[in-house]
Amino acid sequence: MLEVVGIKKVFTSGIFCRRSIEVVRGVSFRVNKGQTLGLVGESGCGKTTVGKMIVRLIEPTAGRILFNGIELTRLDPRKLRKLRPKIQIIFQDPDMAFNPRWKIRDSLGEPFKLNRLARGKEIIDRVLELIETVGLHPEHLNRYPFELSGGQLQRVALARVLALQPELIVADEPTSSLDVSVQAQVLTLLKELQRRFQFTCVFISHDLNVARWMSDRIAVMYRGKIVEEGKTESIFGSPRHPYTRALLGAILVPDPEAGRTWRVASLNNVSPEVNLEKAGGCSFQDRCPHVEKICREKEPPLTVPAPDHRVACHRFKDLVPVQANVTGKVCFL
Amino acid sequence: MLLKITNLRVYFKSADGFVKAADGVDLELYPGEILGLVGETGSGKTVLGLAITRLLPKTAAVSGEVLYRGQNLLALPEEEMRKVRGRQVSMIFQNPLSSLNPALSIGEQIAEVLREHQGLKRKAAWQRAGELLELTGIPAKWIRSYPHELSGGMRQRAMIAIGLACAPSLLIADEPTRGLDVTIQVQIVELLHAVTKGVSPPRSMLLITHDLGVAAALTDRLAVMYAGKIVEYGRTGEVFRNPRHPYTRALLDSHPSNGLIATKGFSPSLINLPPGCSFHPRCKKARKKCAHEPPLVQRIGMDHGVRCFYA
Repeated sequence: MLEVVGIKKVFTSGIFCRRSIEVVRGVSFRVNKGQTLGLVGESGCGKTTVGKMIVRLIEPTAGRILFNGIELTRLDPRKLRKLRPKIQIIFQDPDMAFNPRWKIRDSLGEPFKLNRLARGKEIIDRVLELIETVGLHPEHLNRYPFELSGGQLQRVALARVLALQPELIVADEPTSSLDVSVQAQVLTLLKELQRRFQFTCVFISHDLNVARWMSDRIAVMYRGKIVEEGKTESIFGSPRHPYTRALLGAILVPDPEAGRTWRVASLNNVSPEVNLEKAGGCSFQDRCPHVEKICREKEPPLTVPAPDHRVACHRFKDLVPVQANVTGKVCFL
Repeated sequence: MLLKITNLRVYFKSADGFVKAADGVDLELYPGEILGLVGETGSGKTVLGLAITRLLPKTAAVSGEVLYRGQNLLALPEEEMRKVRGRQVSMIFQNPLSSLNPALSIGEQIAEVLREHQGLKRKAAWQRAGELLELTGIPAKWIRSYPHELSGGMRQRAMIAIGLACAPSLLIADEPTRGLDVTIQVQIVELLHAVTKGVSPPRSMLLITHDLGVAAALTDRLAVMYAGKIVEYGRTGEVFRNPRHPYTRALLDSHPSNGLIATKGFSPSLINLPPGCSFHPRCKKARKKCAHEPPLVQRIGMDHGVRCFYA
């Protein structure tokens, strides 16, 4: 089980005049064993930073991350190294995740060597088994990364992660650079492998539709905070936060009749980077169509509008409840 | 008819043989219409766009006919083609970050097009550039900003402004929404709608995309491309409601809002296409015939055609 409690990350830049940006501003969530949490939001909202903090590629500035009760954030390097194989990450761009001068067989054998899990011929057997688990052919082992397509490489990335029998996988937009049909293949595979190996998953995505299909629970992030969190059915069935609603409304459905009803223009067009450190109030206030006086003065706390559902909005009670069409066909701003 | 492409072939020579990026493509585009060209990476859709504007590298062997207002663009001398490009047909390239010049402000890049093609003086061109930015939703005061200072959505808007600079009658937009956030994607779709359907007379557009949601929202007609060939075409509503080619159906099923149903196998390499129908190794309906005989396009209704024996 993974538990994240109030993690924050401040990046500083500049030598003479230190500037700092708080990218993650207090994020908490739990993922039960064998389940998937979808972490959704626009680019720049801090979702990738959260993912990297979980695997400790980035050290959090504050907060705690607990994995099976062990506090990762306080672990000394030796113990952390022992735990690392159990916590793995898949990156967005598979082209950058492989050494271009290594054959696939070398990239796949490396985790065994590094962790002294197998030697010599045994490695070859394990690598062969892995490549078949992810639906590729043994001949792919003798290729270089540039000889494989994006979808095939992402399969290899999955295989490499599985080599260590992880208990937790952070998947950071694993399919955002792939075509829809290849995306379907890779996600189906990821889900199938999760059923087989029972790992816990944090699935980071900007595509609500994809996250919905993959996740048991969804957390929507905006400017470094979770603005809404709950079971996938309730996020899609009755979204409370105006931002979640906007995201759902922005899904372009492959249906010409529904496609022409988009009306997201009412979401004010400010890129999220601007005014990040604005004093006080709700961070969504400058784009929200329902903004009121209180939103500019006080930051909304996370409240519980329904069992097992959290939302950070002052006005969620005043918004017209939507029986959102499950495919997001209705735009409700 | 504004654009009529007949039997267009684009081959690239490589060490292993010919890469057949477009292999006998027929397409028609009517005035004021938005035609969607959908397909996966490597299906040849971008090459088709580049062939129309004759921007392919010299190594490409191009044959066939691209009639624009009755004039074969492939046979035009380069001088004449330059006049068509920009003024008549203009292209919005994929990936604005690499298509825009990082060393020039966006204002200069738009003004350059205006000076070059419309002979505007420096000052007039600069002013018109500001208007074009406003039109595409970028505040005119940003005219001096450089591409790296803009967000992805804004850069895409700047690309569209450049494409519109000379008021072309045909826009070719290559993956205009790729890599953008969903909320920004919708704004770009709205903008593209406004600059084509929203002007009078309506402007034509060839929209190259792999995103079926974007295609559904914008296009009047659709052509589905697989391994260098058009495998299905028809009115957008008709193709979505009643897809007849197994590949079109597979593509629709694999969309996340349709349940992400995966199709087995990979797209074939364009050097080594399977004999017969290129889709047959992945096709559920494939029979013996599909493996040796390439199917021709069959008309199955008003303006609806399918390249499949068993549609």
